[in-house]
Order: sequence, then structure tokens, then C-alpha cells
Amino acid sequence: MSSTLQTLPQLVLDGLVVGFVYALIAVGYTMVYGVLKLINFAHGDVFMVGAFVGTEVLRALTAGGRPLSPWALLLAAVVAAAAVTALLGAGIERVAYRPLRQAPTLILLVSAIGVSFLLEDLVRLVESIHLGKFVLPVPTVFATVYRIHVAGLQNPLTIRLNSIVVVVASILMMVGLTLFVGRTRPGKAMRAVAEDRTTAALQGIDVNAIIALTFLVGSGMGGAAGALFATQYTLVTPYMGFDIGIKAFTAAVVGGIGNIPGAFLGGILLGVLEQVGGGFIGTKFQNVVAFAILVLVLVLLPSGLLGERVQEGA
Amino acid sequence: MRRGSTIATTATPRMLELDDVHTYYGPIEALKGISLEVGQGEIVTLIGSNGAGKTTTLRSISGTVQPRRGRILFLGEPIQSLPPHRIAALGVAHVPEGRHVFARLTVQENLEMGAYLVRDRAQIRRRLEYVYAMFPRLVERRRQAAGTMSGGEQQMLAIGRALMSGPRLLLLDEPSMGLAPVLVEQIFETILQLKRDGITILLVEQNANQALRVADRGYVLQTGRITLADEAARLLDNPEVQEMYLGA
Amino acid sequence: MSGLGRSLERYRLRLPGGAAAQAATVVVYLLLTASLLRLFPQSIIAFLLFLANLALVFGARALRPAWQAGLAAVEMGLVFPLVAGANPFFVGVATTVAIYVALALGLNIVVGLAGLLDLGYVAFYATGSYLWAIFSTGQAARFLPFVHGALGGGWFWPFLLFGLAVGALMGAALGVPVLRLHGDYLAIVTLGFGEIIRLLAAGLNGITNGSIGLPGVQAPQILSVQLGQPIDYYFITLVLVGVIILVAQRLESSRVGRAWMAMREDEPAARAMGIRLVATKLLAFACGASFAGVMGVIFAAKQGYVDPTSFTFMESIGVVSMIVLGGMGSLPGVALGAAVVTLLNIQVLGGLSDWLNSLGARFGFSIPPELNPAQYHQLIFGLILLVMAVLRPGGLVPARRRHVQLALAPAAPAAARPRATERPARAEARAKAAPAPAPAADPAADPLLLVQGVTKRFGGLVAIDAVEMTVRGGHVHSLIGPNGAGKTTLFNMITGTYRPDGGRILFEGRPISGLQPEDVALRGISRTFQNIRLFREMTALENVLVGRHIHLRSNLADVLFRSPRMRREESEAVDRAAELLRYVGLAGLENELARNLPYGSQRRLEIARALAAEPRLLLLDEPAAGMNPRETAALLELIEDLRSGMGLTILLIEHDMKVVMSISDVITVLDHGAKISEGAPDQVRHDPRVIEAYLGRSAV
Repeated sequence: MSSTLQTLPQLVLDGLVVGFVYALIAVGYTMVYGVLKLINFAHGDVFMVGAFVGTEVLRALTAGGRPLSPWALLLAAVVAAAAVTALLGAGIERVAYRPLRQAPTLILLVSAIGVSFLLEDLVRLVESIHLGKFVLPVPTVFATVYRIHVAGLQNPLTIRLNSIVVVVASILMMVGLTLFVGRTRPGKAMRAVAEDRTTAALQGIDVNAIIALTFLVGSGMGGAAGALFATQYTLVTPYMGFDIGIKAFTAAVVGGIGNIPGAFLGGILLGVLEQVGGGFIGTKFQNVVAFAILVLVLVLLPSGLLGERVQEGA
Repeated sequence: MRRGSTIATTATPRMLELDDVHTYYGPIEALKGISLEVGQGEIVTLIGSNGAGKTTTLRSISGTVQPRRGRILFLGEPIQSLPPHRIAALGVAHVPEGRHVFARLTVQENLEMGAYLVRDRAQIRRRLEYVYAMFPRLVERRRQAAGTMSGGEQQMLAIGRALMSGPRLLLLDEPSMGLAPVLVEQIFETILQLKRDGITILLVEQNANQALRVADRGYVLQTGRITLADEAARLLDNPEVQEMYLGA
Repeated sequence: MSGLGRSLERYRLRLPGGAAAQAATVVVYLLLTASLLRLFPQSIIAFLLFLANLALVFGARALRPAWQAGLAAVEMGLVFPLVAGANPFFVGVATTVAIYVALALGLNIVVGLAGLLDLGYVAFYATGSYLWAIFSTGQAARFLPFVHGALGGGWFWPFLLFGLAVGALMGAALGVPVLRLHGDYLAIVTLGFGEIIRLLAAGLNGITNGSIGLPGVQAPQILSVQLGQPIDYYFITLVLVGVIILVAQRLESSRVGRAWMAMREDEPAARAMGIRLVATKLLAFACGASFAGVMGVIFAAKQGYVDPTSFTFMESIGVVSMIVLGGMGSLPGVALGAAVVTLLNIQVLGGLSDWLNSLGARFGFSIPPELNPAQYHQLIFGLILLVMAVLRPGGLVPARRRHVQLALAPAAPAAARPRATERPARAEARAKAAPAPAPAADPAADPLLLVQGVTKRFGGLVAIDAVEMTVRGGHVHSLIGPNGAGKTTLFNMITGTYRPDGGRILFEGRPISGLQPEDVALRGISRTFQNIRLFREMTALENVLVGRHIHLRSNLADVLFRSPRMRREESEAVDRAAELLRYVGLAGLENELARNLPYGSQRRLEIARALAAEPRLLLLDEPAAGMNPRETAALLELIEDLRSGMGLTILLIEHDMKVVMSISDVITVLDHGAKISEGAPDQVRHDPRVIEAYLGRSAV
């Protein structure tokens, strides 16, 4: 028992790092759900594409043997991943969701699942042709590892510089997004569209453009998260988006779907709970913990921690 | 029926003209050929019972639903196939039934959304002052989420939001719905004030009596068709209208 | 939508010619493809051409359904084993196709009929598989103290039933927590559930032997005859598919299936017709899951081993894509979808990869395993889902509603009939449609509905403030007031949609406030809705049949075995429903989809549906809204007849003053949630408070 307590601080620390990544992805789910009332099932795969783009950029930049500074490497990978996935997300909206604006939720969700499956195998196909394999190792960006001795703990806490960078980058992006949505004209328009599409259009807001913008921003964040994740966990596969996507969605629901600060909170909470839960009952069941949280929250607390009660049609 | 698409520079140039507009919801024909016109500076009201097509007429004008047949001219230009945000950009502001303020945005943000298409900050400031002067209640609540206000305050906000775009034509759908009598009185005062400020208004009201009192002209709708069109005062005296809508 | 989409949308499979010509076409084609299959036992094309026989039979619409079924049975049960029985590969493929057809039909009950998107369906399949695997490999003996050794192949048969039962139980168990969820939230919960089951299967080593799985699953055995050849599984599966198709078909066209569809189309309206939300949804989950449970048992035996990799999320989505491709809610469509997707996966992708390999061998290149098309199942599923969702959401063979042949003499469509004859026709229709008027001693003196101090708050807003109201038997009682006065809110409290925050409501002397809508319906209160809530994708007749739901008694067993009671009840219900349609003037439109009816007819259909419940109190919410004067006049006549002819009590919300003033016995006026006046029309009309609040103060 005391040995599990001994590991607790490290588990919480690891959970925080992965939680920030979840939070970045969760934002994409929550923003899209806000404007379209759709679970963008393909968002986990947008994240995966971001991870691959980031990895490819890192590979290209480290291949020459004349390494750039790690900061420049990371910046290039994240920016490229965000740019590609932002366009990808907007493209998905145009092709798979916009024609279905009037369709029932079920059909939209089916379309989203279709896109998700398609993306996974397409990335696999492209990488197989390009490199002959589709599970790629990611070049190391920051190698430094810090060990912190804490009184009362037998083992020192380890934390990688890369983790710190991931957390800081995540916080910066979240602050940026919060300012964008809260203060700018397009950000406010986004909130108006999320609340009432028809009335927003009556104010002269081009609803389709705002929806596209929402996908652009949300997917870009997801893609950036993918690149960060790749540097942190050193291996990418075309199928990584499924589990992480579902978990990030869970995070969005935990925080109250449609609610951006809620998504941050939910992501961090889920990351920690999953690590700690997995640490106590075995890492084999780590995903069971995450999925169980998903089911329990949806069933018992569908409006989440910060969400408002969803109005049921009378 | 008078025809002609150019605006004559008469005393009341034509601002809005509907010509044989048919609008459907799925297989249901909600408007079965509506023709009407609104002159510059007029208040025109549409009256009729629930389901007659009053709201659908406004929605067809603002582009929230697209007519299947017929023409809608605004200042002589056809707008029947434009999306709503383009129609709004031309100077048509629609205050929908049930107010539809953005509940989670603050009062001030709601008003800013009304001025979404206005790029000139000084202009926005002037309009904000105009709206706050007209509805002083909104000033004290400017930082408050719009959804937490009372029905009457929300109605003021909805009208104020529409005014922020500097509209040439204001479409008002049931502005007095669900409001206490005192507030109803106030809303109709506001409508008259707007007319004095030169805004053209197309007003849909359940409260036919009040509506005909402030309006210049009125149309009576019945199951998607116009059955009567006349000066408002004459409609008020029309025995048929009295029986059906005024309860006399 | 693109031109391609539109032409896809219109295409229907249908053979030309009469019954004889169609039968001849089917037989000739069958002989042709059977010989091809015999001549080219290695040819995939011959196999696919043979399977097309089923589509052909389906397209022979001039044949009687029984003949179609018989032909299909002969094709697959006799001809196919004869010509291809010796080819284990084809038999194996055909078995796999059949298993997926069964799975898809099961999921179709949940997704297609009941409209509940289940993304974790494979969990039930896994349950059935593990059930048989654990007991037939001896694994059970390791963790269950009372089990010794492995069960023999003879136990396979009872385990088919256990698989069914355990599947059904699990389905219901999943159903309970998710009852309140809708749409995509429900979908995600089921996905989570499916993943949890798979992860548990992979993690609980003691029970499932973890990711290694359980090898050596027993093949079935009859007495001492050991089965286990591919053709054995083919026959077992085929029989089960036959049974499942039969069951699915019977369910669909029964009281149970109608309840599912009604729930899918409009939950509040279905509950207002007395359909129990909980029981209906759970039954759908249980039925769907039970199919998967059975097929799981067969799958485990056929494959000979079970491990968690067979039950991934991709499998669930695979089954969903079969349904989407074929057409949600359409039995033939779903079967076709299952066949196409399975064949695409194992035949076409596999064939493509063989072809590429042989091409590579000839021209000296090799296909790396990463590029092997056989690995790209997800690509296929993804494309199917995306393309179908965007271009043809109804599927290849969209669901069609059953056309009921009516025993009655065909009536001329209402519109064509001269008005003068409508009255006698109505009296006659009423005589058939309705039971004798309730023999109340003095209906007018009898308070049927009592509303006592009822209050309802939404947040801070008081929508209804301590309202008192008495509705007497045999009256037409109107509720008027400006928009937002609280009329519909009061309706919703009477019918159980809302629970009052204060006060109580009595119906026939018994309290009904706080009851669920379905219980209120059972007590004898029926309603229509302000915004018309019909079951849009069901026919007019089916809508009325749903209205009769509370008077039908047949249970699941009656439906499955088509018991005499069920058949009698059903034909009576159809007759009654047809009469009601005639009564409201919709004769001739029985088989029309509700959504295709014109507005006025939809309003009348809603009334017919409400009447089918044989209520003692009928609540009409703005029935005249959107009607033209002629329709309104007809409506007035109808309401008058309901009261005087049928002895019904009616509570009416209406804005059309002509209607209200001419028909009401009593009028209650609401304003801002409070009652401001009540009495006979003349009294209310001259009440100054009413004039001020509602009619406008200057109108006096």
C-alpha cells in the first residue's frame, strides 16, 4: 500500500502532462459541438494527422545531421502540424458535414465516423508508400530529464524538459484561444453562432464562414496537440487517434460540452484520474478507467462540471 | 396589382415589394402567393391568427426560409435567393419572434453582434449611445448575460440589437408577446419613436388592435393568403376584422 | 445534392413484367449461375453472380412474398450446397456473409427501427462467443467451482439459447443507464461500453485467458455425430438467418415494431399515445443484442478459437456500415448491405491483393505487406459511410412502409366526395369506429377533470400561477389567452409532460398530477400537439394504429408466433383505424406517409390518432391553426360530432375566436399564467378584464 502511495506524486505529474494534451484536443470537440451539435468523430484523427505532420517535419529537419536548436525544431513541427490540420479540418467540414446541415444527428455521426476511418487508412497508405512502414519513431527534441528529490519519497520525481515545454505550450495556446473567443469580433461571432445560428445570420454573420473558422481553429489546436504529443511519446501510428480522441471527448464532456474552460479542466482532470487509476489497478486497465469515466459522466452528469443543463425539447 | 421595379421618387418610394411569394416547409405550403409592399418611412402591419403565415412572411423577407416561387424586391433589387447575412447587409433587420437574444453573451456583446457588419468604431459608439438612450434599462445591465434578464428587457435588447446595424427596414415579429400590459405600452411607444427617427417598419402582431393603432397600413393574412389590405384606420373600423381579430 | 446523388436517390430495384415473366427470369438466371458456379469452382465472379440471385428474387415484386421467400430458401438451402458444397472456401464465405446478415438484422432493430445508434454492438457478439468458448474449452473449470472439465459438442444447442438469453440480458442491462440519453450521446456511451467489454476480455486473464484467447472451442455435435465441416456451419447459420429474418419481419409489422418506430420518430408523441418509454427501449436493446449473442456462439464454434481481436470497435462500425449502406430500417436493404460489405472485405480486397501479388510475381516487383489491400478494411468502411451519408442517407434499398390491403369497400378519396354526403358518411363511420357513447348518468354535472391550484415555475418565471379549473363531462371547454399566457404549459401538466410545482390535478376523481405521460394516456386522456407531432416516416394508418397501442394486448410471444389472438386483434385494429381515418375524412390515404400529407390532413390525422386511444377526455392544442375557412368549418363540425355523437369531453386551446365562441360550453381565460376569467362565451366576451388583456383595451 505504501509503495502505491509512494508512486502517487509521479503519477499525478505524468497525468498532468498528458492531461494538457487531452485538453488541447478536447477544445476542438467542444468548439465543434458548440456550433454544430455534432460529435466530430474525426477530430481524434485530425490530431493523429498533426502527429504525423509534426513527426515528418522533425525527421526532415534532423536528417541533415546539422541539427537546429530544439526550440526551432519544435516550433516548426507545431506550426506545420497546426497549419495542415487547420486546413484539413475545414476541408472535412466542407465535404462531410456541410451537405448534411439539415440531416438527422445519426447521419451526421455516420459521416463523421466514415471520415475518421478514411483518414486512418489514408495516412497508413501514404506512409507505407513513402517510408514502407506506418508506425514511425519520433526524433527526440529535448533530451534533458530533471530529477527532483522530495523528502519522504524513496525515488526522485522525474520530469523531462519536453514535458515542461508541452505544458507551457498548451497553456499559451489555451490563453490565446480564450482571448480570441472572448475578445475578438470573429470569436464573439463564433459564440453567437453556437447559441443561435439563425439569429446570428440575421445580424449579418456569415454562418458558414464562422463554422469553417471554428473547424479551422479547433482542428489547428488538435493538430498542434498531435505534434506536441509526438515529441512526448516518441511513437506515432495511424490508429492512435481513436483512443486519445475518445478520451479527449470524455474530457470535453466532463467539463461540460460546448464550454471551453470546461474542456481545459476536463482534460487535465481526466489525464490525472486515468494515470492514478491505472497506477492503482494496473496499467492494463488504464483505458477501462477512461472509458468507465466516459460512460459514468454521460449517464450521470451529461451536462458536465461547468456545463449548463441541456434543455430537453418539450 | 401595380408593377415596376424602379423606385419612383414619390412621397413614399417603395422600399419593399413582395410579388406572389410562395414559401414551403417541406410539403406544406405556408405562403400561397403573398404580394405586398412597404413604402419608405411607413409602418405596415400584418395581422392574422396563429398559423396564418405572418412569421413566415417575415422569415421569407429576411432569408431565413427561401421562397420557392415569387419575387422579393428590396429597394428595387431582388433578394429572394440571397442568404440571410447578405440581406442583413443590405439594411434589413429582423427581430424574430421570441426575441432570441444571445443568452450567454452580455448585453453589450449582443449589441456589438447587431453591429457585426459595421466596421467604423465611431459609428458603433454613436449607435450604442442611441440605443442606450432609448432603453436606459440596458445601460445598467451592459455587463450582464442577456439570458438573465426579464422578458421585457430581452425584447428591448432584441430591438436595440437590430438598431445597431442602422437598418433601413425593421421587421418586428410579435414584439409584445408575453409582456405585461405596461411593457406592451412601452414597446408601442418605441415603435412610434423609431418611425419618427425615419425607420421603416413591417410589424407582425397578435395584438391587432394596438398594431393597427400605430400602423399606417395593414394586411390581413389568412392561411397563407392576403385577404384584406387597407389603411390601418379603415381596417380598425372594418366589421369583419373586428369580429375575427378584435373580439368585438 | 449532385446529379449522381439524385439519380442514386431515385433508383429502385424492380424486375419488369408480370408474375410469370418474373418467375421465369428468376429461374433462368438461377440455372445459369448455378451452372457457372459448377463449371468455374474457383471463380469469385461466378460466386458473386450466384449471390445476385437473391437480389433478383427481391426485385421480383410481382411474386407473392411467400413465393419470394420460398425461392430464396431453395436457392441458398438447396442449389448452393449442391453446386458449391464441395468448395470449402465459398461455403466459408457464404457462412460469414450469413453471420453478418444476422448481426446486421439485429443491430437494425436497435438503430433502424428504434433509432438508437449503438456503436458497441459487437460487445454482445463477444459475449456469446466467450460464453461458448469458456464452457467448451474447460476454461470455466478454472474459475467456477461447480464446473468440471469442458462441455461436449452436444451442449452447443442449448448454448445457442443461453447465448440468446445472455445477449438479451446484457442488452437490457446496457439499456437501463442510457435510457435518458439521445442521439450522439447515446452512441458514445455504447461505444465506451463496447470498448470496456473488449478491454475486459483482454485484461481478465483468469476468465478469458486475456489476449492469448481460448483455443480449442468445441464444434457442435448431434447425438454422436460430430459436426464441424464448413457445410455444417453453413446450414446451421442459414437456418438461424431464416429464423431471424422471420422474427425481424414479424416484429417490424407488429404492435412492438410500431412502438419502436413511433419512439424513434417522436418520443413525446409516442409517450402521449401510451407507449412505455422504458419497456420499449429496453426491449429493442434486448432483441438486437440477443441476435448477436446467438451468432457469437456459432462464430466461436466455427472459428475454433476466441480472442479479443475479433471484437474491436472496427467490427461494430463494420456492422453499422452494413446497415447504412443497405438502408436503415429496411430488412432487405440491411441483408444486402451485410452481404456487400462482407464480400468487399473478404473477397474483393483479398482478390485485389492476390491479383497485385501475381502481377508483382510476373513483372518482378513485390507488394510490401503494409500496402496489402486486404489490410485496408477501414478505408472501405469509411468510404461507404461517408459516401452513403452524403449522397444517399436512405441506403441502397430504403425502408418502405408496409402497404396494408384493406378489407373494406374502397372509399372515394375525401376530397372527391361532395360535401353533402359527408355527414351521413361520418355518422356511419362513427357508428363503426367508436364504441357506444359512455353511459354517464348526467354528463354535464360530472366534473371529469379538476385542476386545483396548479402552479408551474421555470427558473424564476411563474408560467402557471395557482390555476383552478373544472372541466365537466360532455363539455367543450376552451382555454384562451395571449401567446405565452401558459395554455400549453397547463396542457403539458395535465398530460404528464411537466410535473406541477404546486397543486394537483384529478381525472375522474383520481389524482393524475405527477404521472408519466404514458400513464396519463392509459387513464383515458389523449391529445394533439400545437406543432403537429406525427410519426412522419410511418403511414397514416400506422399512425392511427399507434394511437390504438394501449388497447392492444399481444405480447412478444404472440407476435413471434402470430397467435390467433394477435391476428384477430391486429385485423380488428386495422379495421378500426381505417374507419377512424374515414371518419376524419382521410379515406384512401391509409398507406400514405404522414409527412407527405397536406397540412390540414396532418391535423386531422393527429385527431384520428388521438381518437384511436378511445379517450374520455380529448385535449386539442390549436387544431384550427393554419386551416383555411373551409377546413375550419369542417373541423367545427367534427368537434361538434365528437361531443354530441361520441360523447367525448374536449379541452381546447384555440386562437380562432370564431371557433372558440361558436363551440365552447365554457371558456377559461389565462393571462400571464393566471386565470382572469371563466364562463360561457357571452359572459367571457364581455368581461372587461378579458378585453383589456387579450382583445385589446380599446376594443370595448
